[in-house]
Amino acid sequence: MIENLSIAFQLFATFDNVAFLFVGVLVGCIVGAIPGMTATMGVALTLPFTFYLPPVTGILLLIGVYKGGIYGGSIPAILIKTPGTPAAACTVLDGFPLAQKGQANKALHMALYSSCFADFVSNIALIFFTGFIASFALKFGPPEFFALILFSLTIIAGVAGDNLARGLIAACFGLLLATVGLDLIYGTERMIFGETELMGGVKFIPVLIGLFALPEIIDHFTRKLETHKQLAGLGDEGVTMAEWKRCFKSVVRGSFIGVIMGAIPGIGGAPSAFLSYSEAKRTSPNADNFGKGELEGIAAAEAGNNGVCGATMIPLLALGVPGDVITAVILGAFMIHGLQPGPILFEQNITIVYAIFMGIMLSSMYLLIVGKVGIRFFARISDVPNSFLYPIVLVLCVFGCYAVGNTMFDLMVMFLMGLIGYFMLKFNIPAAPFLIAFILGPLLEDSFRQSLQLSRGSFDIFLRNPICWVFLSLAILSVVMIIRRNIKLKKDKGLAAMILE
Amino acid sequence: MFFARFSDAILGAILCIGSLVMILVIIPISVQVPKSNKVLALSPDFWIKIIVWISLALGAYLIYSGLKSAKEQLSEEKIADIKYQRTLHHSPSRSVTMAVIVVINFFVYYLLIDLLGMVLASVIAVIVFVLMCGERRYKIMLPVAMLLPVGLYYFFLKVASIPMPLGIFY
Repeated sequence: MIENLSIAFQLFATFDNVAFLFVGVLVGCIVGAIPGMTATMGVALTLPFTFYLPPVTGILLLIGVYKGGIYGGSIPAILIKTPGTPAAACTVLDGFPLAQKGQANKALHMALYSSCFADFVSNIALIFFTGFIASFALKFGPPEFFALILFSLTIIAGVAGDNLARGLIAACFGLLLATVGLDLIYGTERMIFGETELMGGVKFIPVLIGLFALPEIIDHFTRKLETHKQLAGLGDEGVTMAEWKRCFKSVVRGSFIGVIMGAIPGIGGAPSAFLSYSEAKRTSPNADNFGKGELEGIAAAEAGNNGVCGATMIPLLALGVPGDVITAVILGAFMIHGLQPGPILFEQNITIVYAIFMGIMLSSMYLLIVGKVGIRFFARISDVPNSFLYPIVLVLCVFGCYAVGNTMFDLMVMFLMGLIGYFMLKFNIPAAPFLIAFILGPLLEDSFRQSLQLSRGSFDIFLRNPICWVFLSLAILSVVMIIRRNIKLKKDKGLAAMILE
Repeated sequence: MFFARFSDAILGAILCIGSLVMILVIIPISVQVPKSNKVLALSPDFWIKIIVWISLALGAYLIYSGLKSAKEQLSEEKIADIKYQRTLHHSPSRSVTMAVIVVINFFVYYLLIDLLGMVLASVIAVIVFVLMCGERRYKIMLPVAMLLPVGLYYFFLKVASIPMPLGIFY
């Protein structure tokens, strides 16, 4: 063991490894900060550069881009309400309101600290619990997935704001949009109206950009010129120790949610961020302030999505199963270098695994350094006058959206979603439940139908496994709590009105 | 105040009409259900119908609760919020007009990308939208309008190897 660690350290401690990892984190942050450029794209674009590098260096470069990209997505989410990555969509909810209050610096620092902390926890989980978590994650078949996703959907109540009915309407829109495309089982058409581009379903990035960024741009033009709000400055305030302590519980919880959800193949950062956010809101004494610029909301969301980073490597390294698209690309990098992730990798190339672990630990520190220095540069965005900022954001959205799929159809989807988003804005329909439902919808439907296929139509399958029981019970408990909370809210409002009268 | 008072009912009505159109027209036309399917829950339209029926129920609830609450006086807090919003925005009709103009511009921008290519269309879009924001500093506007799309074009082309449409200049 010690000998292996010593060899691994020699393998890792080269200038190339340390430098390329740093470059990876830096590139990732920049890529993530550009709306439309996702961490997945960043990793995919970096892959060809790793062909000519030694295996450890190449893989660390990709891991650096991955981690930087996931954090980088929070920067435009906070500053210009345009999430750089899908996982950062949840950060918008409290990040942008804080930026509007002139506390963007605080928001960016909280996002950075919670991201780094969650990333660190995720790395520790990767190193110490790879075997255990991977075996637990493998127990998830379609029925368990269904129960988990159903429970995750109760998040909608947490992000619906004051009006649950409107939140549910938004969720219905999202679920409906998610059904567009070819049917998974029969391969028949569902609401594609002969449009071949829709066969694979509506893509995520155009929906995301259209829903969050464009309504804000349209709304800007409906304001009187003299009241055009200049983006408030970045502010000088950082995160105080008291604030960090207050948010710490949510950061830790979010990190663990991220670790567990990241270890389950196919979930990804966005659901994890929303679940962490919802749990933070459910338990926080400042629950009413969530969605209006609550620091704890940013901490929970960022911890949730960054907690996934290390954990998605767990099924990859332990079983050779990629947890998401990014780890699938990283799997490709392993294979290019003649390495086969899974139990064989641990038997035959344990020193490479240890060297990668060492690099992964260093990446958390790099993330902190790059983020800390980078925030000063991001300050420039708030100096741009709004009359220039909104048109610039529009052009960024258009380029970013087109780049994802290389098709004009995505642009059309983005503009249409902008229109729908503006309609939702005017009717006070929150966008977050729409997005959650749109992300989770296909997973929910697919796992439901796959389960029924396995059981030949019998619903018993959802009650056969203790994991299903746990998640279904949690889902029912959440619904009961939501109903109770709403009844209590109505009673309180009625009482307040009576007192006022 | 009419919109604020009846927004729930209006939204509910839109939702009910939309849901009925989905149930009666769109789902039967656009969702193919194979005849071989014997399990209802495995049918391709099963989820869609559930979602639409929930939407219909939510719409009906909104109409009911909206009409009920419309009879009550708006709270002072709500009235104050509406008045504050009015100080920020144009009059409702002007706001709608502006929103329509912006949306039309979006779609013109989309068509121009196809016609003139991403760079030139974006240059025009930046200039138009900056002018709409009331900005008249041409010495800043023109370089920004030129450099941003050109910079982005080369970034995506050279760094990310993603070619952008060039329209008639292809």
